[in-house]
Amino acid sequence: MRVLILSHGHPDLSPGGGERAAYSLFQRLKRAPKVTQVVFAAYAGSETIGHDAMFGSFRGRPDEILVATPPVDGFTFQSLGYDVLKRIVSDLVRSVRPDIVHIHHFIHWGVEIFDLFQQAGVRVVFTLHEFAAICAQFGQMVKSNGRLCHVASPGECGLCFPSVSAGKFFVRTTILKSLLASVDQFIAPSEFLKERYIAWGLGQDQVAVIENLLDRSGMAQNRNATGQGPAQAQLMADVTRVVFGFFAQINPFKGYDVLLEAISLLPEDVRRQVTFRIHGENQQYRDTPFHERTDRLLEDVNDAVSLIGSYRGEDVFTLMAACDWIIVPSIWWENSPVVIQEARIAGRPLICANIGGMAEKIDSRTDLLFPARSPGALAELITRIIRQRIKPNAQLLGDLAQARLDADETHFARHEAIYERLLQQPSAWGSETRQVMRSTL
Amino acid sequence: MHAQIDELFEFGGVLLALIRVAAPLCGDPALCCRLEQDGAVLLVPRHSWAEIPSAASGLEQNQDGPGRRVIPVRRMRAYLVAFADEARRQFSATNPVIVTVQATSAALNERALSISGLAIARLDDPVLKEALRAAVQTAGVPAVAAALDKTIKVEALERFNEVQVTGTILANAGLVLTGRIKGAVRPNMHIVSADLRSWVPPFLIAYHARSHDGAKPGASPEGVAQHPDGPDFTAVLSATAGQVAREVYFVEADPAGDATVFYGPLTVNGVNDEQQAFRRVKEAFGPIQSLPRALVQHVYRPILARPKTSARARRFTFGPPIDEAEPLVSIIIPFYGDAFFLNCASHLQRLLGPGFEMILVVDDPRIWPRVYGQLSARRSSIVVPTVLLECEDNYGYARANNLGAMAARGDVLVLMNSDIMVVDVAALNQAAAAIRGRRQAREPEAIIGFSLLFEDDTIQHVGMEFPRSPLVGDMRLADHPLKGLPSALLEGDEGRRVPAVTGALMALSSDLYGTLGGFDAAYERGDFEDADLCLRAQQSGAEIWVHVAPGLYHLERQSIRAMGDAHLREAVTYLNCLTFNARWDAHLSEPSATHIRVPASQAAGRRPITVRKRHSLQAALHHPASQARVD
Repeated sequence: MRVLILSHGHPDLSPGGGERAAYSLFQRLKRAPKVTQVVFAAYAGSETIGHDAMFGSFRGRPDEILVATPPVDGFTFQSLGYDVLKRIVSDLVRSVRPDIVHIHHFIHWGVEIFDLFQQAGVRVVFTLHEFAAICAQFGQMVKSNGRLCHVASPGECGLCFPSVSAGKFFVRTTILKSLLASVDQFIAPSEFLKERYIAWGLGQDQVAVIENLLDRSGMAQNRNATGQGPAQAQLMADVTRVVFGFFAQINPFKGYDVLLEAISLLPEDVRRQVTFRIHGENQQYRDTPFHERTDRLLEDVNDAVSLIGSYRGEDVFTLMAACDWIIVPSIWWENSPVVIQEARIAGRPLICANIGGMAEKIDSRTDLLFPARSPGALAELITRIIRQRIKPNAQLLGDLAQARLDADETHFARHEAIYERLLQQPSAWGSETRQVMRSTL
Repeated sequence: MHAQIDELFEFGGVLLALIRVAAPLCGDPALCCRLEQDGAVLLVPRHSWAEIPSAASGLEQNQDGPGRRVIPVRRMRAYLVAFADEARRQFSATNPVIVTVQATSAALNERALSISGLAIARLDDPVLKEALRAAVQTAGVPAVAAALDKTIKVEALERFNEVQVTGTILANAGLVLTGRIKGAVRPNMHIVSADLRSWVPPFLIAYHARSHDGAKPGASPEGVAQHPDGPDFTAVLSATAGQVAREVYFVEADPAGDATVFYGPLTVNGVNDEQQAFRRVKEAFGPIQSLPRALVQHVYRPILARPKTSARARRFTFGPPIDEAEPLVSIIIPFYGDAFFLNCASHLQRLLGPGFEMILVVDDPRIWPRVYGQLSARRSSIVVPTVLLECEDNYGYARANNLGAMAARGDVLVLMNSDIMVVDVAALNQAAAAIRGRRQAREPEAIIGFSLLFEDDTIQHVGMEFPRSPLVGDMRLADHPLKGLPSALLEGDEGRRVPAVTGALMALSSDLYGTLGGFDAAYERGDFEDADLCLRAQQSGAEIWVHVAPGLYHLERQSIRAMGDAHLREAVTYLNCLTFNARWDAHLSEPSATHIRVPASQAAGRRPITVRKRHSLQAALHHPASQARVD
């Protein structure tokens, strides 16, 4: 079988969870005996490609293609250069000759991408990464007034965007549903995400829940980090204080400000016993009110906070090993945050906001939840952890880490099973089922 | 030659033709003079012509020398023909008009002429002046007639230092002129354009107290006449032919005096600002709803009505060629204000099968680059034969559709607003089949409308009715009953006879559309023209049906928002409402006005949706006459 993995970015150029999930799957497919050819194609700006063509290769690798796709409409996600996109798909199909295309996001590609591959006779698998099709507010399902959104409707979406009428949201939804009808199989990394898309209009049977695969190279390093206890991790460990790690992009959605506020609320005696390591960088929200606010908050708590900055994916396990707890205080629902999977493998317990994909993915025997968006509740929880000296069972954490490492093979097998099943089915292109789906979606 | 056509000009808003007809033919009872431009026709029969005594200067003289007996080479009689009908407003000065003098047997003469103005010096000709006086008297402007009854004098503007012009704003076919008067209101002051196309008599000049002393401006001169500094004034100069005045004269026509004096010219250069012109007129004359109909036509129409230049569009084609062998449905979609709704057309492309073409009419130069750019960037996605029309100007919904219909090649037309989202095309196919079936069976033609939903699955349209409304001075509105109620409550037959259907989505044969002359551009920008078309269709024997089917959405009024000020929009609607009521109120008030019957198949116990006893028109729906239905 020949597989083409399509991603909205190359993880080495744009290190997001979705990109990393796509790349990990690609790496795993390369080792699969049934797969005769696998190619990873990622969007990249033409300046990254460095020459005057729509395609280039990443660091000269023959199976990692960078693609300068035409711009995409920010509201409906339709390509603004459909003809060019069609040419791109045609070239990819001619050169890679895939049986399966597994698309990890339509942003940067355009939502017509499904249809174009299906027309070319390629079976289309699509992994949902957030609520982009449902919600125009960065696909987060967080309202423009900051409150959590539970369900989208044209009328309510119009309230989030006063300049956009309800009718336009209806158009957006209709177009997206219509074009998503060309997907043969959806994959959601969490039950929560699946349920949101079912409520939106996808069919229950169309969506399989399979966790994202993780980066092999990182996992190999982790065996070293946890198994052999290298000096590096010991060096970084703080023996006098309890260390809490925050691993995320610094933006309003990840709850960085909630964390800082919680720290400022900690009683003095607790504060003297804790350190918060912030791993991540504020790339997109510099010089914004969010930046100013978090900088002010930081001034109050800098005695307990270390800003470490950005990190490479392969270092994450070493960095986590230096922490006692990993905090995921996101203020949006999340899907299946990679940081939770990584903490699991690193054998570290989690403190998460109690909503969406975070609540779904924790293990209640080792991890703790706090009411999302509440700095007071988070401060209270941290206080309890310190004063009651709460420490999850190390053996159980170790077992969970091993189980997570093993689970990747199960997740991969399920992906492979879907590919094989689709290849046994006739192409849905032009079929009656597809037409029906198109009109009912 | 039996007839000669000498001149076509506009005077005080009335179109006038100077013609001559051979004397022996002048008794022909069928004799008439006809104007035609872009399908608009005006006709004045012989008995309404004003004869001009043969000595009228400016006309050809036939005499063989001084002191000798005047021998007409060919005995011709001269006439001044006045076209004062409302339809004259459809004529444009930028294009020639076909003037025809017609007798029983044939056209005696035909000539293409531009509509000119009239130089003031021409009023020195007593014969022409007298003919003009009679014409404007007949057209119902006695104040102007009275002014023409005197000797005409022209004086320099400096001699008339009582007036100071403080502002000029241009908007569409109107020029809003504001100024100050020294002393008291001048009850005999007229304002005219130098070409005499526009003539504002005293009763159309609004006087109001100076705004700076806190007095509220009003339309009435009473009570402000004694103001020590004198009042401000506002006047709207219009030109039917779309030629906005650039030079004006102030005219003093004292009924007791022996001369009418033109002071000027004053050159005016205004900025083009529709919103500001509208506000100024509203302040000076009062809200449109408060004014008598005639005043609305004089002060609001010029600034709200788009100049009726002839509509032109450039044609581009996309997609595959049409299959000449198969019958074709042409879907006509005008675009105005928001290119976003091109998304709806793109979506429709993906749903339509063979047998359709799309005519996209971009009636808005502002959005043309975006629409063209978007379509060009996705040529390969266009699988339906598509014609893209680039209108040279914004012509309004009626004319945009008419342009689209000219480019359409189908035997069936589907007129569609850009903000219609089709989720299920079945209803369009069914309507096309019904229209063709009727023609084959030689049954009456039909206009088929559709049930339309809002984005939340509530009713946007299931047919239109014309109840009287206190909102528009008890005139009739084109009303959408049940609007906003959940469509799940909609029960009854798939096909229903209704008084009218919305033009947002309607299907009809291209023959019927052609016979009716398409939408009437007398309605400004997009209002009532659909109701008007349906009523005219019924008069021609066609039936109006609404097809109740799922999957058709109208995200209504989204494209209108771009017109800005809601008050201005309201005023345009009111203007159209006046036009519609002038035409149809009497007809709609007849008990048998709409020959609509309840379908026989109305299942017992099911609530028919269109039946609501609210007014007499509704009662007509229940007329228990013969039954009919769409098959």
